[in-house]
Amino acid sequence: MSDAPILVDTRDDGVALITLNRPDRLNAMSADLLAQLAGALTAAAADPAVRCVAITGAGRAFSAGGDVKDMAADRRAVTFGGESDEEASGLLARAAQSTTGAIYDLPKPVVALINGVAVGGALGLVLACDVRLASSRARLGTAFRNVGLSGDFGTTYLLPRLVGWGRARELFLSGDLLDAEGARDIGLVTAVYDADSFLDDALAYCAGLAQGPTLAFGRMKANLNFGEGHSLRQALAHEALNQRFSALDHDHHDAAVAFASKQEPVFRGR
Amino acid sequence: MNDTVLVDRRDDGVTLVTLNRPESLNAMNTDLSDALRAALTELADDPAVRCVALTGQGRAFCAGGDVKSMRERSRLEGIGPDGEYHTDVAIRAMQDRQLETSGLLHTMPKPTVALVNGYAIGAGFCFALACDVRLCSEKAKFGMAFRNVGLPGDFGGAYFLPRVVGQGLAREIFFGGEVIDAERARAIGLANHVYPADDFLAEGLAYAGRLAQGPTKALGRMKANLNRSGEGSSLEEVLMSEAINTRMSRDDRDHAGAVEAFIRGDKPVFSGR
Repeated sequence: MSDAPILVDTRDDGVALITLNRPDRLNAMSADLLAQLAGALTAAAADPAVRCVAITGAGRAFSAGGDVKDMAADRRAVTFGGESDEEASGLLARAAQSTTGAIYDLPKPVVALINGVAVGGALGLVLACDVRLASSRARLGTAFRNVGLSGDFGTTYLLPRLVGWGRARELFLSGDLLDAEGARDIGLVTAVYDADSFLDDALAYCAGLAQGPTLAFGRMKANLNFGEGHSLRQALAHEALNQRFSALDHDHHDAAVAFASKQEPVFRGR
Repeated sequence: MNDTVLVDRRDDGVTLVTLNRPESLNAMNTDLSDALRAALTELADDPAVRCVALTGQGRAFCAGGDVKSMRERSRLEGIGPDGEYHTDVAIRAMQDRQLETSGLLHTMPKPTVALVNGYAIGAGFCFALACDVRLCSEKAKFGMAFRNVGLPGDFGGAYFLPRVVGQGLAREIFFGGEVIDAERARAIGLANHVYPADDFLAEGLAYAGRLAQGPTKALGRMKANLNRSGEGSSLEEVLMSEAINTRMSRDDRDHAGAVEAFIRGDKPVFSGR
């Protein structure tokens, strides 16, 4: 197995499986890992053969988040370097934008396959995904308070939108860790699979998404993201534009024909 | 100062604020409202206070605006320097009143916990919603009762409730004015935890005590990030807010101490600095 911090497997079924690969450090998010993750996301977004992106972790963790060992060695590591306020916060914001932000905006379904612990900044990556599937061994939490930090990688944007503000504020202030069932109860993950067959079950789910109308999926994401910060009037206009684009897609045309002849549509992502 | 609000600064860093008009179910008249504003303004800025807990004396948390004096209070608040009533003066006074109660509970840079011991009605419901965490006695009852007195609601209810329970439920709760008991409150995410009535204050204060032992500055910055997010900033804007706040925490003693403790395998001990 490669010792690169990010592995990418572009499968025949249209799923690109991205694996965070520092198992000896619980896949902690080093600057190198994040840079390679950003590169893999950019490539997956651009490759028309990729119709769904799945992200998981090698070994027993999804990811432990920021690398506390690095922070102990150099206090600047928490922002990936930088001395002045502007430089340090700029470095961290860019690292987050190129990963959390890229997942959130990626115009294809992105699925988190949460095989184990996902805490801190890694929770932000998980939350940015469209769907979260958990192994029965998954554990999720904010954990930032445990190291005296306020949170990054979009966690304060994304968590309240998923679980409501009351639960989100408590999860930040208390640092409580949720198991897979607890995460499902509050809507943080949508399904829990047995740990033994987790990767197979989760990849089968992703393959289903990869057979969908990929361009329309991308526009659904754009509409949902746009709707977060705009008025109903603006959101309606945005939906209308995207609907107009999709009317020109092969997938829409073929599906309309299949519907009229009472057949199952076959989508090619075009 | 009047005695309609009691302030108990405890050794564990928690300050317990008790609404104290039990004979009127702690309904908010001018005295109580003024005392609550003064108390919250002082506690928000005091670094020795590391968590604020809000509760009510007797069988209610807070029954909301005192209906008996409502019309008269609104008239008095609107009287300008010329001795005449002006609607815009009344509205501005109302806005200040809301910002220094609901607003401060939501934004002060330390955890705020509602210990909902009984009825939380109207503005009382809103005070509970403004807090970061809601802990309920099994006797807690919530009601967005504004419709019963022909009002649309104030003290941030329309801001907070959809964010806590979702738009669909929030509209129903506002329109129906139904009473929500503790179990249902927990089921819809309104109550974070429900405790037996007998142990309620002790359990609630123990929870608040744990929050008071956290990295207070980082917790305040979490709230700032979450509030930016709630106020409609984009993901990109929130990522920058998170980054700036993380940069600030990098220099905190609590962060450095916790990193050292983590490496040793110890539990971190936070001083709030």
